[in-house]
Amino acid sequence: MIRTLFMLLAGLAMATGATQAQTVDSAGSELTFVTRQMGVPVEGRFARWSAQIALDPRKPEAGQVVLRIQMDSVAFAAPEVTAEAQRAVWLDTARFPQAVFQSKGIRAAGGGRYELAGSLTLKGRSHDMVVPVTLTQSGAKGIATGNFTVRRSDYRIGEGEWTDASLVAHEVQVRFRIALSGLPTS
Amino acid sequence: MAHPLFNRTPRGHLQALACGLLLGALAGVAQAEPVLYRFDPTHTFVHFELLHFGTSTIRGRSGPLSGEATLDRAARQGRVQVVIDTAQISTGVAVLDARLKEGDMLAVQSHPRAYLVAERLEFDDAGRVKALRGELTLRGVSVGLTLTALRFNCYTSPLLGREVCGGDFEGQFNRSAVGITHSLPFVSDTVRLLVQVEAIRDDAP
Repeated sequence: MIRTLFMLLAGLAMATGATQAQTVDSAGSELTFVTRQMGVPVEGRFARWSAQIALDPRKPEAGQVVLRIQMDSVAFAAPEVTAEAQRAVWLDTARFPQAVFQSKGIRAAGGGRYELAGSLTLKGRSHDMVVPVTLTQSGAKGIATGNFTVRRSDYRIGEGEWTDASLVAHEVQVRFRIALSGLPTS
Repeated sequence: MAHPLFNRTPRGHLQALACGLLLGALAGVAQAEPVLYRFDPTHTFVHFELLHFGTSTIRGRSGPLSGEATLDRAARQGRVQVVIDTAQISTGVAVLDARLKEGDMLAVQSHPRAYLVAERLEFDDAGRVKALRGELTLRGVSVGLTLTALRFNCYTSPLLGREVCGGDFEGQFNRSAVGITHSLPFVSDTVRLLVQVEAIRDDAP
């Protein structure tokens, strides 16, 4: 039964022409975020993450995006903050080594802008969100940029006394820049 | 001056350099701008002390304090404003805290906030704040207050990547001046204040 379903889906994908995947150029890509500590923006980054991106600007709704972040690659300018962020009350990187964003639907918003509806799984909890992406394409290469807000309280990041937002704000702004090659050219 | 750079510099150049530095310093004063600092709520508290029967010292604390400071260290000017949430008071004795909040004492219901505004700042030669002169408003009554720096320093916070300035300050006032006369003279009229403050530079350096 499952096998039949798989064959059917595979056939469907071939029939509709599944979108070809792009390659991520890690040198030109970065994943950063900004927390606000006592009102001061403090930037962090993830050094290790991977993205599977299959986006055809001519047919965005058929696209797929999966982003996997290795949580122990989190880094702040101050090593004390990096160590603190990995602890159980914050990201708990030992128990939850990976965060995943999985797209569920891509919608073109015009002018190289897209809206990725999807689900973010972080510290064992999943929430739906919409991520705005701007794609600047030049031939087969492109840069996808965007930013979105994650409420750390939605994922129990900052437990106990830290649930209070007066020292560390609940809103965390995530910023990404992903360099792609292998984009379909018209 | 045994500095190797100066040894290698011809005299005329040294004078030109000195002139340049002087002009630069004057320009620095002319261009000096007030810098805004906001209180760090984890390092900003006031402790108070009153003598009990001439025998031991009652101590309590209020905070974290909220407020901000504007410093123009080149022009040796500044302004500090502090807001004290009077209900935040703690002596470690619950019944005393409750009594202190009543109408004849801190009157936290009618006066939930006390204020300290200091507009006359003294600086030492190194540009460190030496004293703050201003007014304390408690129970809606204002009295003059001078806070003297026990220490003052600025550093760059490795956590925030920002300049932080602050220090420890002490001062005193008579509580009878703001109408708190309960238990006089067994509990001293003099209230000694010890203020811990650190403030984070508001704009990125």
